[in-house]
Amino acid sequence: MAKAVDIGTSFIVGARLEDGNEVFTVERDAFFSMPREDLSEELITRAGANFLIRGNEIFVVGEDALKYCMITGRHEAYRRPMKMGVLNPGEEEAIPLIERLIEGIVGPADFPGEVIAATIPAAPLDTELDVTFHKIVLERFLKKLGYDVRILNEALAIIYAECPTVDDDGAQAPFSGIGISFGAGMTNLVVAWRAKKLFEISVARGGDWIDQRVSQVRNIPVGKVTHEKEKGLDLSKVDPKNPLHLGLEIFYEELIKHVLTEFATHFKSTQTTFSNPLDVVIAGGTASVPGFIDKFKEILEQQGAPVPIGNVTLGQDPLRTVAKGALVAAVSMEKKKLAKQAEAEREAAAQAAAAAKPAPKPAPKPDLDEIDIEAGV
Amino acid sequence: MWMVKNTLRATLTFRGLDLSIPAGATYDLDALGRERAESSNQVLVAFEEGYLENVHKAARVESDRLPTQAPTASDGLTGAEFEARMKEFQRQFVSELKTHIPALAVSSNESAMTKDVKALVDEFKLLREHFELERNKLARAGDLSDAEVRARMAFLEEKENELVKNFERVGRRVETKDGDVMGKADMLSNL
Repeated sequence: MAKAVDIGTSFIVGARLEDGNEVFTVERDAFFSMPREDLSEELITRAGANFLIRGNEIFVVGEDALKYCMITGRHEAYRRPMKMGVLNPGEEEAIPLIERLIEGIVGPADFPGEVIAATIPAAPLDTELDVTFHKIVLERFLKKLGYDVRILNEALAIIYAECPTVDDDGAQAPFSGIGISFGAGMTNLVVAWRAKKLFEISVARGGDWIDQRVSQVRNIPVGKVTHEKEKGLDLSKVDPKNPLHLGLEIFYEELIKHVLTEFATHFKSTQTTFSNPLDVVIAGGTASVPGFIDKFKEILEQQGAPVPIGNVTLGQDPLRTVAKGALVAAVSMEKKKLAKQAEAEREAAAQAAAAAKPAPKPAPKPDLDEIDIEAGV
Repeated sequence: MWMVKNTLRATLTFRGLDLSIPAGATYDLDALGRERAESSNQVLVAFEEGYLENVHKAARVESDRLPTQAPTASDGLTGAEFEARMKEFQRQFVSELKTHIPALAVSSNESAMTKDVKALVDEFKLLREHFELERNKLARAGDLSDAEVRARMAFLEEKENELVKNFERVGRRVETKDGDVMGKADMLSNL
């Protein structure tokens, strides 16, 4: 049965169905490098860690990278293959290492041509960042593992996971609404109608951008900002005397304003109009902070949107929503593919039967039972 | 605990001690026995030459002689009193730990998954420091019997192992029984 993979800046999430249950495998999108030595290699093997050898270096990948970082205390050796939603251009080992991580999570295809849906961001509007290279590298690698690869916008995956519905002249139009993925590296937005993507934008700002900005203006290490953001921040009750929380609130607001401004500016060009309100479904780690949805609603009310808006909700499980939506898409695509194959086989069989059928004799007339048997071949 | 770090970019091997410390790695020399490590010339030379540096040297506690079985009544305490005092210590320590590091103490995958690596590392350090602090307190405690100190040390060791194990499990496999993926996939196929 089909699989899905969401390749994010902080985590890679794989999704599959096992005995009717949704099974997610989450791995840190990170690696740890150390000089190659026979002893290190032996130790890592004995510890069961996931690693890769390149030249004179050993790279421990995924969650194991974090363990080695902690054991040795060498933070500088902890590296990330993704940056701003795509393969990190400043990390020369990014490709083999992300491949190793993906392989560890999804494994090879269970059968040749198994469908896998992989999510990628849209090209960002506000920076020179090409997603084509990222897309092709991942697509090729998944094909090498034996999959039939389908690429999907990560915000559209949110629509598939949460299935917002719009009233369309008395009938319900499923998978229609606005999906926004607030990730670590990027924010993606799509407008979908009956599961079709009508509009998409992406901005190269997300959780990492907030952390960096606050770090700059408050002169605090980024790690500490991130830690505070994820541990102590509640956007619904920010203490104005706490400069760090105040900084986080300001840049959260800036991020939301920027996304809504870009949405308004670029949606005009589509010349599409909606009479009925569209629900907004939000997911992603950056949106997991308490009070985020209320803050989003507050800014949305102030700025407005280019389409009428209904409810604004947070995905059931913001960190896994994208992977879940990609799995919905993959299962659906595989069903369609199998149905098509079955249809093609039936047609081929019918054609073969017609070709094998002997020229009709003028007399005597063929027996009806015999024709039935031939047609069924 | 006597944690030392190999500062070299090569493995440091102490042949006489049957010990190798990989480049940049830390090692608890108390694993060899404090006396043996302190009296080793090789260790001494490694420190003098700067190959090894001290990360943390705890006050001397004869942890290598800790019992693994529950002690019997001793040092003027009845079995019941010993048990009661031990339970109170355990309850108090775990409660303190939960206050300091709630995410680790409850072993929640989800909360841990949202944390940045540096935050996780910081929490891990905090955890180790808290255990170390408690060990030092125990080593200095004059009002506890030897048996109580040993039992409490054993409890700390067991708890620390348990938490470290939880920590290492962060971010792996998560299973849900939501079951609506197939339903939504059907709906999507029929559009």
